[in-house]
Amino acid sequence: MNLQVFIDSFWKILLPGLTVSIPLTVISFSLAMVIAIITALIQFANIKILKDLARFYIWFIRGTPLLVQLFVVFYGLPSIGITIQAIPAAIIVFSINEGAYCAETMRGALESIPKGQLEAGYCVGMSYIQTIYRIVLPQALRVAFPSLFNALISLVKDTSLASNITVTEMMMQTRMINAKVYEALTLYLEVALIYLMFSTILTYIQRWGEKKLSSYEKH
Amino acid sequence: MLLEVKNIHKTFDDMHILKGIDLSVNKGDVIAIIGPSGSGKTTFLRCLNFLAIADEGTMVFDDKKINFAEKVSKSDISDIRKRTAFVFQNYNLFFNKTALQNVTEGLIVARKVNKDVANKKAMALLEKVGLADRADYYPSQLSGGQQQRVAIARALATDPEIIYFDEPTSALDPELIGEVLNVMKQLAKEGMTMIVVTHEMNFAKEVSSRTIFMDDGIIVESGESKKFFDHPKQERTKAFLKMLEKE
Repeated sequence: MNLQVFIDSFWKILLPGLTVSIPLTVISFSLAMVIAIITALIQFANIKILKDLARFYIWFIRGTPLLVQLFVVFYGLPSIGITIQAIPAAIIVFSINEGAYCAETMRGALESIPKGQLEAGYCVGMSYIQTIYRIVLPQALRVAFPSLFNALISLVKDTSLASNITVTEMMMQTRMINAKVYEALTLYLEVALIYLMFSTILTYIQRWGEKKLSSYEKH
Repeated sequence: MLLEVKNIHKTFDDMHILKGIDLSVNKGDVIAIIGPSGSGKTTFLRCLNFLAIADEGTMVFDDKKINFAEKVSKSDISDIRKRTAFVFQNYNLFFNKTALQNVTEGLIVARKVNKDVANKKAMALLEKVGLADRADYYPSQLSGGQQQRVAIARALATDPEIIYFDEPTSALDPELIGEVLNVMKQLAKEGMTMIVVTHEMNFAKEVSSRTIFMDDGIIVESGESKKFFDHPKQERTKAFLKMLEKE
C-alpha cells in the first residue's frame, strides 16, 4: 500500500465516479424501470404475441453475459453500419440488461398482489388500466422495492464493465493511473473502496425509502 | 323490476356450479341467499356483477339486456358495475389507500367527481358507519369489522341501485359480526336494495324480505323470509335448517 498514491489519486478516481459512473447508473436504471414495468405488465395482462416477445427478450438477455452484450453493441454493430458512441452504447446495454432482470422482479410482485384488489377496483367502477395504475402497481412496487434496489446496487458496480468499451468511468481511470505509477494493489483497493462507499450510501437510501413506503403496512 | 336473471349456468373446469338460476329483484328488496358451502351461491352473486361471466342465461338490469350465450360487451359490464356495488367476504379494501381514499376512489377515478365533493361525501359515509375518526387509517391498522364497515361505506359512495354482499361477516371474529350486521340492518331500513349471501340465519330471518335456499347449483326453495323459516316446504331446506340449529 502506498498512502501518498492513495491520497493523490483519490479525487482523480472519484471525479469520473461522480460525472460518469453515477449518471450512467441513474439514467440506465430509470430506463430499465420503464422497460421492466412495461414488460411485466404485458405478461401480467396476458397480451398475446407481445407476451411471447417479452419472454424471448428476458430469455435472451438473461442468458448472455453483460460484457458480451456490451461488445456486441459497441464493437459488433458498426460492422452492419450502426455506430453508437461509447456512453450511449453503455446506457442502451445497461438499461436493456437491467430491464430484463427487473421485469421478472416486477412480474413476480404483480402476481403476488391478491386478485381481490383488482376485483374491488372493478366493483367501484374503475377500468382495468385505472385499477392497475392506482391500486395494483403501487402495491407491487412496494413489494419489489428491496429487490429493485438490489438490482440498482448491482448496476453501480457493473458500470465498471463499461471501461471495456472505452468509457472513462472510475475503473478506466484507475487503470490509466496504474499504467503510470504501477501501484495496482493500492489503486484497485482504492477504487473498490469508492464503489463500497457508493453502495453504502444507496443502502441508506433504500432503508429510508422502505420506511417511507411502509406507511400502509402493519404497525 | 330492477334486476331479472333467468336460467343462469356456470361451469368451472368441468364442474357444473350453477344449473339454471332465476331471480327477480324489485327496488327495495333485501334478499338473503343461504345454502351449504359449494352450493354455488357465491358464484351466482359474482355472476351478477360479472366477476364471473355466466355461460348461459339472460340478465335484464333496468333498461339493459344481456344474453350470456353471446359475448358480453365491456361497456355493458362497465355500465352495470357503475350502478351496483359489491361487498366482499374478505373486505378487499385497497391496501395502499386510507379508509377515506378507499371510499373516494370510485368517485374521483371512475366517476370524475370533484375531489372536495368526494371527500365530503366519504366523510359523511364514514360517519354513518361509525368510523369518521378512522378516516386516515390504512386497512392494516383497522380491525376486520372496521374494514368491512369501510367497505360498506365504499359501496355506498357511488349511490348504487343494488349492493351485493358476499358473506360479509364470515371472515370476522364473532364479537365483530354485530357491528357489521347493524350497519346492514340500517341500510335495509333505509330501503337499499340488497342481495346478501350469508350464513347469518337471524339476519336472513329478521332483516331480509325474501330468502333463497340454494343447493347443488339450483334454487331449492325461496319465499318470504318469515314464512320460509317458519314453514319450509322442501325436505332439503328442512334438513339444512335443522343442521344449522344443531350447531
